[in-house]
Amino acid sequence: MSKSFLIDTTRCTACRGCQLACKEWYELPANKTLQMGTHQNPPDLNPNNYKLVRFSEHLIGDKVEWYFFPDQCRHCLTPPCMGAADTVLEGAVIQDEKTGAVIFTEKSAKIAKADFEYIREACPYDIPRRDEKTGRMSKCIMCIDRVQAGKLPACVQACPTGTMNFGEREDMLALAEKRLAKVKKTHPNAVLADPYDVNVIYLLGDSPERYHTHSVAEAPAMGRRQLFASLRSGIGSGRSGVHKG
Amino acid sequence: MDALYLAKRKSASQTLSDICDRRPALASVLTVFMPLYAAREELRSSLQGSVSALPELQHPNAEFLSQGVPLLANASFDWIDAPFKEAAKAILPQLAGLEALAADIEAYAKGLESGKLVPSTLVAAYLSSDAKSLVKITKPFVASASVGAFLTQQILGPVLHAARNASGETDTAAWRQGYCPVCGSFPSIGCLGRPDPDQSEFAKGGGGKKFLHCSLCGNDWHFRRGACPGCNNEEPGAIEYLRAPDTPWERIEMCRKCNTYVPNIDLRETTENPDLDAESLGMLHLDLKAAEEGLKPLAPAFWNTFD
Repeated sequence: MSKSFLIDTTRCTACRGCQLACKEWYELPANKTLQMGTHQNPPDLNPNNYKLVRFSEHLIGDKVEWYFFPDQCRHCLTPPCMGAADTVLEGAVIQDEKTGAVIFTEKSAKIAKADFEYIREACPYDIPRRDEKTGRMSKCIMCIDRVQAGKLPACVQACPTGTMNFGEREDMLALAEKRLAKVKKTHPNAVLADPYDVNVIYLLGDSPERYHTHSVAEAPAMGRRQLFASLRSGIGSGRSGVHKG
Repeated sequence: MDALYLAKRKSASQTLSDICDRRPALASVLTVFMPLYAAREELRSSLQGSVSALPELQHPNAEFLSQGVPLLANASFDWIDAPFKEAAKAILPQLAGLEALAADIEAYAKGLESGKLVPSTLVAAYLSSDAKSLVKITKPFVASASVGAFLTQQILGPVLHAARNASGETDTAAWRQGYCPVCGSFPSIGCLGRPDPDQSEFAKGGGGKKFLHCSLCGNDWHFRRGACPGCNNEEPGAIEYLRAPDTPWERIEMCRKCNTYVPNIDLRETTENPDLDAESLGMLHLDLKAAEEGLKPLAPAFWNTFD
């Protein structure tokens, strides 16, 4: 049984403690950004930000509602990025058997930009990014170094509100169902985002599209190469069929 | 005790094996004790048939608890002969790795078998910390009183643990002492519990409630975080910490007034759910550090006392 996160967005106050803790742990440099009229900063995931709290505002009735979404790699049970990367360079993307963490290795620096775009398109959550200087692919790696040493991921450790939870997959699924039942009383549209496909389970208090375009997986139109990659990824993990997304 | 932790607690062998992976330097010591810890764990369940509930634990004496008298103080141990001998048969062979004790272990086992070493009197002397009687009882069989006490502790622990289990949950909320409300032994380790995820809708706070774990019967009881279990020192800053940077959830909690310490794990800082008995052995590296500081463990054992 792998490890999983439960990200309970109904408790998120967008303090960005998780985002900063991640940057601190990996000693990632600052980004130069401009005021774009939103609190979302930086504007998108990038090689210096494996985690980003996305801000969305919606006028619902006569009230402006804020939606916060701490975006990060979902560590899919059957990672399409790994399936795609394996057709380019095996070992560039690996999955840790014990924790389920999906990791971009140093080998990923050898992947050409065009091939990286293909890998990025394979991700139903639009997570992979590429450092243009080194060529290396980047994203959240579940703080694999911390987790293997018995520590909590940096983002979970830093979260003051109980939004970020981490533990055994069965425990997180149970906690997710328990929280969903409770949240549904006040947020009737609440859902769990793809809980049986990923190891990063989001509890969303409202319709997924209000949080982020890629808050849940959507199946992209599949070319021949992508179909082959997803089949390969399904076979590799012992699962049959084409993976969702 | 933290219900989430209890539900997920690993076995002692698994805990020790995980520590060996994390700290290979300790493996040579820990592997010697692995069979012993596995046998102790197995005994807790296999003894269930031969141990019955203890009235002292089923109906705790409120006056004892409020005055700091352990529930088994002055209790009768007429029932203990058979389970003690059964436990000895399982435990003593597991100590074969300790070559220096081979002769003592053999003599101790023979004493029990021949009936010259009577468990009920031995246990009564051990639990009442009656050192003179304990020396008198064990002297014909073992070279030193500390070896006699060690062997008795290793055998008695699983028996009392099984008796506690058979007696059901004992309400010891009124207890305020740093020694065990059941058997009166000092704690080998403590832990800080995790927060209840449903406690608050707005903040993650909470948790951190401190429990001490009995070195003998494995009972866990609530204790004040700022107080020393050894001398009850409650002055501000009474407890100081020693920890290794790579495992911040493991620490030594020491008191400079009485110069003692108890190892502690903060469950809020880790995903691990270790068996506490095994974890106390696995914190040997911090025991060494504490010894360098001139501190004494509150519950001394062969593995945490250094000359």
